[in-house]
Amino acid sequence: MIDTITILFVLASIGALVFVTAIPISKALVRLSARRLPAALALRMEEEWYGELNSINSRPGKLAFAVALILTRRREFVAHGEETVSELTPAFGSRKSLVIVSTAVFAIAAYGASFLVPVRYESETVLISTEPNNQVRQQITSRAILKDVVLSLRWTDSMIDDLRKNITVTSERLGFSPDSGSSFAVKYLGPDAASAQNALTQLDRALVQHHFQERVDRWSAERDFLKEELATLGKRIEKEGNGQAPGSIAALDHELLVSSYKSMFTTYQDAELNSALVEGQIRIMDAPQPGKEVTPNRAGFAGLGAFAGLTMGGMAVFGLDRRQRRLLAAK
Amino acid sequence: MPANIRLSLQSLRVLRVFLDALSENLHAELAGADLMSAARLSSGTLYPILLRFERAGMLESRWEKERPEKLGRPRRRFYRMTSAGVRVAQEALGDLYPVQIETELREDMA
Repeated sequence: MIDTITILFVLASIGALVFVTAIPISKALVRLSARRLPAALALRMEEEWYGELNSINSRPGKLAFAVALILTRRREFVAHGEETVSELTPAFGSRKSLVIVSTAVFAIAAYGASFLVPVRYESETVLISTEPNNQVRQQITSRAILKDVVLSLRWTDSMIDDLRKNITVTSERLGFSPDSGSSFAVKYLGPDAASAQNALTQLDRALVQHHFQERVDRWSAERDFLKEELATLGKRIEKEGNGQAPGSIAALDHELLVSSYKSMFTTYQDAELNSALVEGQIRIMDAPQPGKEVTPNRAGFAGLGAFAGLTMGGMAVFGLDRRQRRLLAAK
Repeated sequence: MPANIRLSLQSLRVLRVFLDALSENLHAELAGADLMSAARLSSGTLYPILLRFERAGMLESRWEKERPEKLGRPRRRFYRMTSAGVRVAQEALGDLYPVQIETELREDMA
Protein backbone atom coordinates (compact mmCIF):
# COMPACT_ATOMS: atom_id res chain seq x y z
CA MET A 1 0.00 0.00 0.00
CA ILE A 2 2.78 2.39 0.97
CA ASP A 3 4.66 1.42 -2.16
CA THR A 4 1.66 2.25 -4.33
CA ILE A 5 1.27 5.63 -2.64
CA THR A 6 4.98 6.33 -3.10
CA ILE A 7 4.84 5.40 -6.79
CA LEU A 8 1.75 7.55 -7.31
CA PHE A 9 3.40 10.42 -5.47
CA VAL A 10 6.57 10.14 -7.56
CA LEU A 11 4.57 9.93 -10.79
CA ALA A 12 2.44 12.92 -9.77
CA SER A 13 5.59 14.89 -8.92
CA ILE A 14 7.17 14.03 -12.27
CA GLY A 15 3.93 14.96 -14.04
CA ALA A 16 3.75 18.29 -12.21
CA LEU A 17 7.38 19.01 -12.98
CA VAL A 18 6.90 18.25 -16.67
CA PHE A 19 3.76 20.38 -16.74
CA VAL A 20 5.49 23.35 -15.15
CA THR A 21 8.56 23.09 -17.35
CA ALA A 22 6.74 22.08 -20.56
CA ILE A 23 7.15 25.46 -22.26
CA PRO A 24 10.89 25.96 -21.74
CA ILE A 25 11.53 22.30 -22.50
CA SER A 26 9.49 22.54 -25.72
CA LYS A 27 11.36 25.67 -26.79
CA ALA A 28 14.70 24.06 -26.09
CA LEU A 29 13.74 20.94 -28.06
CA VAL A 30 12.50 23.01 -30.99
CA ARG A 31 15.72 25.03 -31.00
CA LEU A 32 17.74 21.84 -30.87
CA SER A 33 15.70 20.25 -33.66
CA ALA A 34 16.17 23.28 -35.89
CA ARG A 35 19.84 23.72 -35.25
CA ARG A 36 20.75 20.28 -36.44
CA LEU A 37 19.43 21.13 -39.90
CA PRO A 38 21.51 22.74 -42.66
CA ALA A 39 22.11 26.39 -41.73
CA ALA A 40 19.81 27.98 -44.33
CA LEU A 41 16.94 25.72 -43.39
CA ALA A 42 17.66 25.93 -39.65
CA LEU A 43 16.94 29.65 -39.45
CA ARG A 44 13.63 29.35 -41.22
CA MET A 45 12.45 26.25 -39.37
CA GLU A 46 13.43 27.61 -35.98
CA GLU A 47 11.29 30.71 -36.51
CA GLU A 48 8.47 28.75 -38.08
CA TRP A 49 8.39 26.15 -35.34
CA TYR A 50 8.47 28.83 -32.66
CA GLY A 51 5.46 30.41 -34.36
CA GLU A 52 3.56 27.13 -34.40
CA LEU A 53 4.60 26.26 -30.86
CA ASN A 54 3.19 29.60 -29.76
CA SER A 55 -0.09 28.91 -31.52
CA ILE A 56 -0.61 25.61 -29.68
CA ASN A 57 -2.51 26.31 -26.48
CA SER A 58 -2.06 23.21 -24.34
CA ARG A 59 1.23 22.47 -22.63
CA PRO A 60 1.14 18.72 -23.45
CA GLY A 61 0.42 19.73 -27.06
CA LYS A 62 3.47 21.98 -27.13
CA LEU A 63 5.59 19.23 -25.65
CA ALA A 64 4.28 16.65 -28.13
CA PHE A 65 5.02 19.06 -31.01
CA ALA A 66 8.61 19.53 -29.87
CA VAL A 67 9.25 15.89 -28.99
CA ALA A 68 8.00 14.70 -32.38
CA LEU A 69 10.40 17.09 -34.09
CA ILE A 70 13.41 16.02 -32.09
CA LEU A 71 12.60 12.36 -32.64
CA THR A 72 12.49 12.81 -36.40
CA ARG A 73 15.71 11.98 -38.16
CA ARG A 74 17.60 14.92 -39.64
CA ARG A 75 17.70 13.38 -43.07
CA GLU A 76 13.89 13.46 -43.27
CA PHE A 77 14.08 17.25 -43.48
CA VAL A 78 17.07 17.44 -45.77
CA ALA A 79 16.57 17.10 -49.51
CA HIS A 80 18.72 14.81 -51.57
CA GLY A 81 21.90 16.70 -52.44
CA GLU A 82 21.56 19.22 -49.62
CA GLU A 83 24.24 19.55 -47.02
CA THR A 84 25.32 16.22 -45.60
CA VAL A 85 28.06 15.16 -43.26
CA SER A 86 30.36 14.54 -46.23
CA GLU A 87 30.07 18.23 -47.07
CA LEU A 88 31.80 18.98 -43.82
CA THR A 89 34.97 17.44 -45.21
CA PRO A 90 35.97 20.67 -47.00
CA ALA A 91 35.43 22.50 -43.70
CA PHE A 92 37.89 20.17 -42.04
CA GLY A 93 40.22 20.54 -44.99
CA SER A 94 40.29 24.31 -44.74
CA ARG A 95 40.85 24.21 -41.00
CA LYS A 96 43.00 21.15 -40.75
CA SER A 97 45.78 23.15 -39.09
CA LEU A 98 43.42 23.80 -36.17
CA VAL A 99 42.80 20.08 -35.77
CA ILE A 100 46.50 19.24 -36.09
CA VAL A 101 47.56 21.91 -33.62
CA SER A 102 44.94 20.98 -31.02
CA THR A 103 45.82 17.28 -31.37
CA ALA A 104 49.53 17.98 -30.96
CA VAL A 105 49.05 20.41 -28.05
CA PHE A 106 46.81 18.03 -26.14
CA ALA A 107 49.13 15.08 -26.78
CA ILE A 108 52.18 17.01 -25.57
CA ALA A 109 50.30 18.38 -22.57
CA ALA A 110 49.15 14.88 -21.61
CA TYR A 111 52.65 13.50 -22.05
CA GLY A 112 53.96 16.30 -19.81
CA ALA A 113 51.21 15.63 -17.28
CA SER A 114 52.35 12.01 -17.07
CA PHE A 115 55.51 13.28 -15.34
CA LEU A 116 53.36 14.67 -12.56
CA VAL A 117 52.11 11.17 -11.80
CA PRO A 118 54.59 9.72 -9.27
CA VAL A 119 56.76 6.76 -10.22
CA ARG A 120 55.92 3.66 -8.18
CA TYR A 121 58.06 0.66 -7.28
CA GLU A 122 56.75 -2.87 -7.51
CA SER A 123 58.02 -5.81 -5.53
CA GLU A 124 56.83 -9.38 -5.91
CA THR A 125 56.77 -12.54 -3.84
CA VAL A 126 55.60 -16.01 -4.80
CA LEU A 127 53.85 -18.38 -2.38
CA ILE A 128 52.54 -21.90 -2.65
CA SER A 129 49.65 -23.22 -0.62
CA THR A 130 47.43 -26.27 -0.70
CA GLU A 131 44.61 -24.40 0.99
CA PRO A 132 41.60 -23.19 -1.01
CA ASN A 133 42.44 -20.36 -3.34
CA ASN A 134 39.90 -17.86 -1.96
CA GLN A 135 40.90 -18.56 1.59
CA VAL A 136 44.55 -17.72 0.90
CA ARG A 137 43.60 -14.56 -0.99
CA GLN A 138 41.43 -13.46 1.91
CA GLN A 139 44.21 -14.19 4.35
CA ILE A 140 46.72 -12.11 2.39
CA THR A 141 44.53 -9.02 2.47
CA SER A 142 42.95 -9.67 5.86
CA ARG A 143 43.06 -6.91 8.42
CA ALA A 144 44.85 -9.12 10.96
CA ILE A 145 47.75 -9.78 8.60
CA LEU A 146 47.97 -6.23 7.30
CA LYS A 147 47.84 -4.86 10.82
CA ASP A 148 50.89 -6.98 11.68
CA VAL A 149 52.67 -5.63 8.60
CA VAL A 150 51.83 -2.06 9.47
CA LEU A 151 52.99 -2.53 13.07
CA SER A 152 56.28 -4.13 12.06
CA LEU A 153 56.94 -1.31 9.57
CA ARG A 154 55.96 1.25 12.20
CA TRP A 155 53.34 2.69 9.95
CA THR A 156 50.08 4.08 11.26
CA ASP A 157 46.85 2.08 11.37
CA SER A 158 45.32 4.36 8.80
CA MET A 159 47.72 2.95 6.22
CA ILE A 160 46.14 -0.49 6.27
CA ASP A 161 43.63 0.46 3.57
CA ASP A 162 46.36 2.06 1.49
CA LEU A 163 48.42 -1.12 1.81
CA ARG A 164 45.48 -3.28 0.80
CA LYS A 165 44.77 -1.04 -2.20
CA ASN A 166 48.30 -1.45 -3.51
CA ILE A 167 48.44 -5.23 -3.16
CA THR A 168 47.49 -7.42 -6.08
CA VAL A 169 47.25 -11.18 -5.89
CA THR A 170 47.22 -13.47 -8.89
CA SER A 171 46.99 -17.22 -8.53
CA GLU A 172 47.47 -20.28 -10.64
CA ARG A 173 46.60 -23.87 -9.91
CA LEU A 174 49.55 -26.22 -9.86
CA GLY A 175 47.68 -29.35 -10.92
CA PHE A 176 44.28 -30.82 -11.57
CA SER A 177 43.70 -32.58 -8.25
CA PRO A 178 42.19 -30.55 -5.39
CA ASP A 179 45.25 -31.26 -3.22
CA SER A 180 47.79 -30.04 -5.73
CA GLY A 181 47.57 -26.47 -4.45
CA SER A 182 48.12 -23.11 -6.11
CA SER A 183 50.90 -20.64 -6.55
CA PHE A 184 50.24 -17.02 -5.63
CA ALA A 185 52.10 -14.04 -7.01
CA VAL A 186 51.68 -11.17 -4.58
CA LYS A 187 52.71 -7.72 -5.82
CA TYR A 188 52.94 -4.51 -3.91
CA LEU A 189 53.34 -1.00 -5.33
CA GLY A 190 55.26 1.25 -2.99
CA PRO A 191 56.66 4.77 -3.11
CA ASP A 192 60.27 3.51 -3.22
CA ALA A 193 62.16 0.29 -3.93
CA ALA A 194 63.08 -0.48 -0.32
CA SER A 195 59.68 0.12 1.22
CA ALA A 196 58.02 -2.01 -1.48
CA GLN A 197 60.34 -4.88 -0.60
CA ASN A 198 60.00 -4.35 3.16
CA ALA A 199 56.25 -4.35 3.03
CA LEU A 200 56.18 -7.67 1.17
CA THR A 201 58.81 -9.22 3.43
CA GLN A 202 56.69 -8.34 6.44
CA LEU A 203 53.62 -9.61 4.67
CA ASP A 204 55.31 -12.99 4.05
CA ARG A 205 56.40 -13.18 7.66
CA ALA A 206 52.98 -12.27 9.03
CA LEU A 207 51.28 -14.70 6.69
CA VAL A 208 53.45 -17.65 7.66
CA GLN A 209 53.25 -16.77 11.33
CA HIS A 210 49.46 -16.47 11.32
CA HIS A 211 49.11 -19.64 9.35
CA PHE A 212 51.47 -21.52 11.61
CA GLN A 213 49.78 -20.27 14.78
CA GLU A 214 46.36 -21.17 13.54
CA ARG A 215 47.35 -24.70 12.69
CA VAL A 216 49.37 -25.16 15.87
CA ASP A 217 46.35 -24.09 17.89
CA ARG A 218 44.14 -26.50 16.02
CA TRP A 219 46.48 -29.52 16.30
CA SER A 220 47.62 -28.75 19.83
CA ALA A 221 44.09 -28.87 21.15
CA GLU A 222 43.59 -32.28 19.54
CA ARG A 223 46.96 -33.53 20.74
CA ASP A 224 46.31 -32.39 24.32
CA PHE A 225 42.93 -34.07 24.36
CA LEU A 226 44.40 -37.33 23.08
CA LYS A 227 47.20 -37.13 25.62
CA GLU A 228 44.74 -36.84 28.46
CA GLU A 229 42.65 -39.70 27.14
CA LEU A 230 45.76 -41.88 26.79
CA ALA A 231 46.80 -41.15 30.38
CA THR A 232 43.34 -42.08 31.67
CA LEU A 233 43.32 -45.26 29.60
CA GLY A 234 46.82 -46.17 30.75
CA LYS A 235 45.76 -45.86 34.38
CA ARG A 236 42.72 -48.08 33.80
CA ILE A 237 44.87 -50.75 32.11
CA GLU A 238 47.33 -50.68 34.93
CA LYS A 239 44.59 -50.90 37.52
CA GLU A 240 42.35 -53.54 35.89
CA GLY A 241 44.96 -55.67 34.14
CA ASN A 242 46.75 -57.06 37.20
CA GLY A 243 45.97 -60.67 38.31
CA GLN A 244 43.07 -61.48 35.95
CA ALA A 245 42.60 -65.13 34.96
CA PRO A 246 43.03 -65.78 31.22
CA GLY A 247 39.64 -66.08 29.33
CA SER A 248 37.68 -64.30 32.03
CA ILE A 249 35.48 -61.28 31.20
CA ALA A 250 37.87 -59.03 33.04
CA ALA A 251 40.76 -60.29 30.91
CA LEU A 252 38.79 -59.61 27.69
CA ASP A 253 37.99 -56.15 28.93
CA HIS A 254 41.66 -55.63 29.54
CA GLU A 255 42.52 -56.68 25.97
CA LEU A 256 39.93 -54.26 24.63
CA LEU A 257 41.42 -51.44 26.67
CA VAL A 258 44.90 -52.24 25.37
CA SER A 259 43.62 -52.26 21.79
CA SER A 260 41.90 -48.88 22.30
CA TYR A 261 45.07 -47.52 23.81
CA LYS A 262 47.11 -48.61 20.78
CA SER A 263 44.65 -47.05 18.34
CA MET A 264 44.51 -43.80 20.27
CA PHE A 265 48.27 -43.72 20.51
CA THR A 266 48.51 -43.92 16.69
CA THR A 267 46.10 -40.97 16.37
CA TYR A 268 48.13 -39.07 18.91
CA GLN A 269 51.32 -39.66 16.93
CA ASP A 270 49.56 -38.37 13.78
CA ALA A 271 48.52 -35.23 15.64
CA GLU A 272 52.09 -34.72 16.84
CA LEU A 273 53.40 -35.17 13.33
CA ASN A 274 50.85 -32.76 11.87
CA SER A 275 51.65 -30.05 14.36
CA ALA A 276 55.30 -30.46 13.45
CA LEU A 277 54.58 -30.18 9.72
CA VAL A 278 52.32 -27.12 9.82
CA GLU A 279 54.86 -24.85 8.15
CA GLY A 280 54.74 -26.99 5.06
CA GLN A 281 51.16 -25.93 4.25
CA ILE A 282 52.18 -22.49 3.00
CA ARG A 283 55.61 -21.86 1.57
CA ILE A 284 57.45 -18.83 0.32
CA MET A 285 58.87 -19.79 -3.06
CA ASP A 286 60.40 -16.48 -3.98
CA ALA A 287 61.28 -13.85 -1.41
CA PRO A 288 60.53 -10.23 -2.29
CA GLN A 289 63.16 -8.42 -4.34
CA PRO A 290 63.81 -4.66 -4.22
CA GLY A 291 60.96 -2.92 -6.05
CA LYS A 292 61.27 -2.34 -9.77
CA GLU A 293 60.38 1.07 -11.14
CA VAL A 294 56.88 1.23 -12.58
CA THR A 295 56.44 4.43 -14.55
CA PRO A 296 53.06 5.74 -15.72
CA ASN A 297 52.16 4.68 -19.23
CA ARG A 298 53.40 7.84 -20.95
CA ALA A 299 52.54 6.63 -24.45
CA GLY A 300 49.02 5.89 -23.23
CA PHE A 301 48.77 9.36 -21.70
CA ALA A 302 49.94 10.93 -24.98
CA GLY A 303 47.50 8.81 -26.98
CA LEU A 304 44.58 9.83 -24.79
CA GLY A 305 45.68 13.45 -25.04
CA ALA A 306 45.87 13.21 -28.83
CA PHE A 307 42.40 11.71 -28.95
CA ALA A 308 41.02 14.48 -26.73
CA GLY A 309 42.78 17.10 -28.88
CA LEU A 310 41.40 15.57 -32.06
CA THR A 311 37.89 15.59 -30.63
CA MET A 312 38.17 19.16 -29.38
CA GLY A 313 39.67 20.32 -32.68
CA GLY A 314 36.94 18.57 -34.64
CA MET A 315 34.24 20.14 -32.50
CA ALA A 316 35.82 23.57 -32.88
CA VAL A 317 35.96 23.21 -36.68
CA PHE A 318 32.37 22.01 -36.76
CA GLY A 319 31.21 24.90 -34.56
CA LEU A 320 33.11 27.50 -36.59
CA ASP A 321 31.76 26.10 -39.83
CA ARG A 322 28.19 26.15 -38.57
CA ARG A 323 28.61 29.71 -37.36
CA GLN A 324 30.01 30.81 -40.70
CA ARG A 325 27.18 29.14 -42.60
CA ARG A 326 24.55 30.73 -40.37
CA LEU A 327 26.07 34.16 -40.84
CA LEU A 328 26.16 33.67 -44.60
CA ALA A 329 22.58 32.45 -44.64
CA ALA A 330 21.44 35.41 -42.51
CA LYS A 331 23.03 37.82 -44.99
CA MET B 1 3.73 14.30 -61.23
CA PRO B 2 7.01 15.89 -60.07
CA ALA B 3 9.88 13.45 -59.85
CA ASN B 4 11.10 12.01 -56.54
CA ILE B 5 7.85 12.62 -54.69
CA ARG B 6 6.81 9.80 -52.47
CA LEU B 7 3.12 9.74 -51.88
CA SER B 8 2.67 7.89 -48.66
CA LEU B 9 -0.65 7.68 -46.89
CA GLN B 10 0.43 10.61 -44.70
CA SER B 11 1.34 12.68 -47.78
CA LEU B 12 -2.05 11.94 -49.27
CA ARG B 13 -3.73 13.06 -46.07
CA VAL B 14 -1.94 16.40 -46.37
CA LEU B 15 -3.00 16.74 -50.01
CA ARG B 16 -6.56 15.89 -49.02
CA VAL B 17 -6.60 18.64 -46.39
CA PHE B 18 -5.32 21.17 -48.92
CA LEU B 19 -7.88 20.10 -51.51
CA ASP B 20 -10.67 20.36 -48.96
CA ALA B 21 -9.47 23.82 -47.97
CA LEU B 22 -9.26 24.89 -51.61
CA SER B 23 -12.77 23.65 -52.28
CA GLU B 24 -13.99 26.14 -49.66
CA ASN B 25 -11.63 28.99 -50.50
CA LEU B 26 -9.45 29.21 -53.59
CA HIS B 27 -6.84 31.25 -51.71
CA ALA B 28 -6.80 29.02 -48.68
CA GLU B 29 -3.55 29.10 -46.73
CA LEU B 30 -2.76 26.75 -43.88
CA ALA B 31 -0.16 26.90 -41.16
CA GLY B 32 1.62 23.89 -39.69
CA ALA B 33 -0.52 23.56 -36.56
CA ASP B 34 -3.75 23.73 -38.61
CA LEU B 35 -2.46 21.02 -40.92
CA MET B 36 -1.35 18.87 -38.01
CA SER B 37 -4.79 18.85 -36.46
CA ALA B 38 -6.68 18.51 -39.77
CA ALA B 39 -4.48 15.72 -41.15
CA ARG B 40 -3.93 14.22 -37.69
CA LEU B 41 -0.21 14.03 -38.15
CA SER B 42 2.61 14.74 -35.74
CA SER B 43 4.97 17.63 -36.38
CA GLY B 44 7.78 15.18 -37.07
CA THR B 45 5.78 13.62 -39.90
CA LEU B 46 4.17 16.75 -41.28
CA TYR B 47 7.17 19.05 -41.74
CA PRO B 48 9.29 16.68 -43.83
CA ILE B 49 6.25 16.24 -46.09
CA LEU B 50 5.68 20.00 -46.37
CA LEU B 51 9.35 20.57 -47.18
CA ARG B 52 9.32 17.85 -49.82
CA PHE B 53 6.17 19.24 -51.45
CA GLU B 54 7.57 22.74 -51.36
CA ARG B 55 10.81 21.68 -53.00
CA ALA B 56 8.79 19.86 -55.67
CA GLY B 57 6.81 23.02 -56.37
CA MET B 58 3.53 21.58 -55.16
CA LEU B 59 3.30 24.04 -52.27
CA GLU B 60 4.44 27.58 -51.73
CA SER B 61 4.82 29.33 -48.42
CA ARG B 62 5.09 32.80 -47.01
CA TRP B 63 5.61 34.44 -43.66
CA GLU B 64 2.88 36.32 -41.91
CA LYS B 65 2.92 39.90 -43.19
CA GLU B 66 3.16 41.67 -39.84
CA ARG B 67 6.48 41.84 -38.06
CA PRO B 68 6.88 39.77 -34.89
CA GLU B 69 7.44 42.96 -32.85
CA LYS B 70 4.04 44.20 -33.93
CA LEU B 71 2.36 40.84 -33.47
CA GLY B 72 3.93 40.33 -30.06
CA ARG B 73 4.65 36.71 -30.93
CA PRO B 74 6.76 34.75 -33.44
CA ARG B 75 5.56 34.89 -37.05
CA ARG B 76 3.76 31.94 -38.54
CA ARG B 77 4.39 30.53 -41.97
CA PHE B 78 1.48 29.74 -44.24
CA TYR B 79 1.38 27.11 -46.95
CA ARG B 80 -0.69 27.29 -50.11
CA MET B 81 -1.12 24.69 -52.80
CA THR B 82 0.14 25.62 -56.26
CA SER B 83 -1.62 24.63 -59.47
CA ALA B 84 0.97 21.88 -59.90
CA GLY B 85 0.14 20.65 -56.45
CA VAL B 86 -3.56 20.65 -57.18
CA ARG B 87 -2.92 18.62 -60.30
CA VAL B 88 -0.84 16.08 -58.42
CA ALA B 89 -3.36 15.87 -55.61
CA GLN B 90 -6.27 15.35 -57.95
CA GLU B 91 -4.32 12.83 -59.91
CA ALA B 92 -3.31 10.91 -56.83
CA LEU B 93 -6.54 11.12 -54.95
CA GLY B 94 -8.87 11.01 -57.90
CA ASP B 95 -7.66 9.03 -60.86
CA LEU B 96 -4.94 6.74 -59.62
CA TYR B 97 -6.62 5.42 -56.49
CA PRO B 98 -10.19 6.59 -56.95
CA VAL B 99 -11.98 4.41 -54.44
CA GLN B 100 -9.41 2.80 -52.23
CA ILE B 101 -7.46 5.88 -51.11
CA GLU B 102 -10.44 8.17 -50.93
CA THR B 103 -12.27 5.72 -48.72
CA GLU B 104 -9.24 5.00 -46.59
CA LEU B 105 -8.45 8.64 -46.09
CA ARG B 106 -11.96 9.64 -45.29
CA GLU B 107 -12.34 6.76 -42.81
CA ASP B 108 -9.01 7.57 -41.30
CA MET B 109 -9.81 11.21 -40.87
CA ALA B 110 -13.38 10.72 -39.75
